Amino acid sequence: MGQPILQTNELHIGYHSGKREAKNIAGPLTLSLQPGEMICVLGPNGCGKSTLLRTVSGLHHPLSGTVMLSGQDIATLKPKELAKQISLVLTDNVRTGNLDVYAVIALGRYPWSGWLGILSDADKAAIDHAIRVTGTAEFLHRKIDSLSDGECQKVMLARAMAQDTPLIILDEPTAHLDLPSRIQLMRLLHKLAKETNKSILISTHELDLALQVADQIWLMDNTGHLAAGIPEELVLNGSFQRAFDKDGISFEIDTDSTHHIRISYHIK
Amino acid sequence: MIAFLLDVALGSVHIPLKEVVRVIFTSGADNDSWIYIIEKIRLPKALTAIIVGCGLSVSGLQMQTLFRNPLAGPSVLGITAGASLGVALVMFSVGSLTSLYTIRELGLSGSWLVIIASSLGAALIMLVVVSISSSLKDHVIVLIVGVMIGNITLSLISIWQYFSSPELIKDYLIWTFGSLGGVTGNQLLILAIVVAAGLFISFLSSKMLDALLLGDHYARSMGLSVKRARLIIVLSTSILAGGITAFCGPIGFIGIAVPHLSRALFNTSSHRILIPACCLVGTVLMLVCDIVAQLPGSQTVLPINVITALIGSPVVIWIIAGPRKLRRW
Repeated sequence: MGQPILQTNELHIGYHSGKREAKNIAGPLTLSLQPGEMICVLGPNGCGKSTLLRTVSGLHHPLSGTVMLSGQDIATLKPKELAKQISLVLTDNVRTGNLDVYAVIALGRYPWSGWLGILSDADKAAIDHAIRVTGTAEFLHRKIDSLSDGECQKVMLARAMAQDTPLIILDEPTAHLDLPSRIQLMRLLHKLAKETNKSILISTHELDLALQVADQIWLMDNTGHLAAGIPEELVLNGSFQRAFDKDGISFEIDTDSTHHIRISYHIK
Repeated sequence: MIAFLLDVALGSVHIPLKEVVRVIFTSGADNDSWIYIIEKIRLPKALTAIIVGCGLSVSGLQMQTLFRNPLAGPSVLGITAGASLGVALVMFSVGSLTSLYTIRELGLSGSWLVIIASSLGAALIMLVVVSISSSLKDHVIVLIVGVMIGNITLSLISIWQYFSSPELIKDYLIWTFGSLGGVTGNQLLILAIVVAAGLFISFLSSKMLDALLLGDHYARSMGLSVKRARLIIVLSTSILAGGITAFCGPIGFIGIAVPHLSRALFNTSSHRILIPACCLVGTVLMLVCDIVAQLPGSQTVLPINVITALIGSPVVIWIIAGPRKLRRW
């Protein structure tokens, strides 16, 4: 394997509460993400998924350790350089301001466009590509606040695609979506990772979907421990059991004749 | 353009439209007093209206984007109150010298003094409101905080007034009615320079403003240094609102109403288009307000604030109570 897109070394994540006191949420974490890989961060509420994503995306400082992006320390990158490496899809409400869908997607070109934000032909090509691969062409001229939650997430994903970064990070993109939209979005993400060779890192509560589409799972539990591995491995070695212990869920793994992996879990 | 001509043409002394055009473009007319009235009173007043219309509208647009709040505007969030504090500070501490109608005698340094005090006052209040509002999500709460800070500022001024001489209070009160008249010659030049500078900074930050439409986090993820962007926007807004308030008094509602009208008319969110659009709509609206204030055909002139409130308040009600798309701005 070549150079990872994202690499963390002895990373401790957490918060500084008060002046000196540091609250360690998880660590030490030594993780890596390869181009074209889709990774799902799973774990119970409050285990630090969002903090981990915020830390590797540079919005939040690590307590210690480093985050390397394509071989460069994230702490040394200027905001604009960082924005050419990572694009984000957040849970923030964006439905304000008379914004139409095209304008939102075009904002993805922010780190690339000139000082007045005038779009070049290359910018427009990138936007068109983003619209095509995310299938957002049909609501291009609608206002963002007239979209459904699922459509809105697709638009925000298209905006991230337009930003044209090797890594896209999505914080709980499937929250608030109905089941068909959730499946659709996860499939789309999987497809994008394979077709565009971008790395995609998402946090989610969709165990089912994550186990089906992820190349790797980063499974966090409430004690600050993170287990990384391919889905079957984590089920077999009991990591899922430990992470979701309090819910009393057990996991089973089957492989049918076509080598299709089926993971089922049931409440004891 | 039509509004501009009409504004110059209409007033308590009737001057035919044809003569107005002649005076403006060739500076010759049948009647010398007409030339005087047009060149010394009406033309400066109409120019002031244009400057005020542009400046207040753009400062309102910037605030609505910065706070991501459709109800933000210089007069609503206490920014003009802050500017008033700055002006009151100069008026009451320096004494009668710097009342609006004597700034002229004081010359350039006095004008600059008032503008700087006013802009600093505006910037101070704006920084307070920005820092408080960054931890608040609810639009209405931010608004209430802004209104309360405005009230605190105004009561500070009232306390000051209480201990000042009647003449100063009268000067100050007349100033608070707002007026487009009385800004002439050098003052007009200074005001134009200050507002042009503010507009220029604002236009340069149009890309930043676009990014801020998606909120701080997204703006940051796209490579914007949010803190620096905020400072620049606070700076240009304070220059615009502060400069205008210093010379024309606290003029309400233009700053909040015009950005909405511009968005509705031009149907865009791009600040590169909205900033000039606000200038255009603001100019026309301000000229219309000024025409109405003169009560064409009568000898009376109403304070400009009365008219802007009459026109602006329905727009604000429309924003709050109107169709959903406007509430979401």
